[in-house]
Amino acid sequence: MNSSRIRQSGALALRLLLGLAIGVFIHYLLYRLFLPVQPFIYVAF
Amino acid sequence: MSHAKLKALVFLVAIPLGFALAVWLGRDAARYAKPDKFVRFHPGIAPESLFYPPFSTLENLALARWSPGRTLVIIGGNSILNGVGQSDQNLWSRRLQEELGERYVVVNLSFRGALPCEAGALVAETLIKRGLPVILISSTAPATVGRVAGGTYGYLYYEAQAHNRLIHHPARDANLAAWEETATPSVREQQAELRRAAALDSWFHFQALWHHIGYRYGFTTWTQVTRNRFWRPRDTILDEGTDARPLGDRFREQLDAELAITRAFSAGLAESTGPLSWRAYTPQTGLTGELIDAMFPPAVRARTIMLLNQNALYYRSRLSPAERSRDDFVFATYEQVWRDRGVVCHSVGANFTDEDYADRTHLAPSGGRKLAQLLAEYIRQFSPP
Repeated sequence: MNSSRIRQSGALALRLLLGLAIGVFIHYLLYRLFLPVQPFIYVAF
Repeated sequence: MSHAKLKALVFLVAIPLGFALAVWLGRDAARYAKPDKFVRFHPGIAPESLFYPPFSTLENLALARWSPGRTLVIIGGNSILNGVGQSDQNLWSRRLQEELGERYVVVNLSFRGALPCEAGALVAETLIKRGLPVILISSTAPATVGRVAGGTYGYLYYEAQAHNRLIHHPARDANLAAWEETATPSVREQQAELRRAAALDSWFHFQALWHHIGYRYGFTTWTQVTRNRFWRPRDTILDEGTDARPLGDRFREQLDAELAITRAFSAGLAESTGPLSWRAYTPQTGLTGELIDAMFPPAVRARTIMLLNQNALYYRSRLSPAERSRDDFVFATYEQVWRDRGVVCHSVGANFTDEDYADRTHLAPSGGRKLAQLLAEYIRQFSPP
């Protein structure tokens, strides 16, 4: 009984952490999405 | 509710929660994140290595050093004021701080390849908008003003605008709109994307958070500059700028090309009206004046010292008497163009020696010291805000 409850709680915690991580990752993707593909190359004139 | 449904619900609720957590952290980072022991933007913390410091970082650098009773001296401009040709320890802006003393706070926000109206100029504008005592130092060549959008550092303009940091200046909006109308479709699309990024960032603060993480904990993108260990935190990358080479090794590389550039500084800007007599081409002076009016709000112009940088004597001394006379005429003409718009403007470098230049355009440590002494005088003459 107890071990079943622990497993269920563990599964919920895992889903929570996974969801949080995906949310943070989406935020990171916004940053990456708008990062220029090529870096600036400095040339003095 | 079944356990399977509960798991799905927890998972679905956690996704926006995670995103919200990142937004909250980003908002916080926008208030404090900035490079430690900052001296200047070197390639490790600049767009050369895909590190695009957010506008909030530039603001934080200035605000963190300011305290009541002190005047902020914001250095904008390009690689000349960034101190290419001077090591971190011999950087001219360190000398300027020593010259000015504690009443002033010097913050070097120049970037390599930046226009006079970009980056540092926008930070000065936002500080003026907040009512802080600010003097903006920037530099350029005659007839070069450019626009705040469209270049490498244009993202800073869109960020500043999206975060409502800028002074309302309709002439700038109109000029940029007219420029965009005549730009190519790819440029228009690029500007639209930068605007979208800035608008989203004003809500979600992803630039501040992920640049802060990249600076403090680890960078996630490979770049040519950091290729060997691209993941290392940017705060571990040192400023590797070096002092100018020994005098005997300078100037001789690509002499013809450098001389051609030196000539081009004034060749297209004035026509001869007699022996050693010149008349400025009015389309160029007119366009320069229009861009100064459009890109610098009056309140910023009133607090700006613009420097027009002369080329190194090594090259100017190889010009013909007529070319030198045209050069002098053009520099004097464009000084006046800036002054007519209410900007304090000085040409610098005319009296500098070969020793003072690292190459055709950048200053060696001795030139940096001279620049600091000159500027300290100009700054002290500036009326208090």
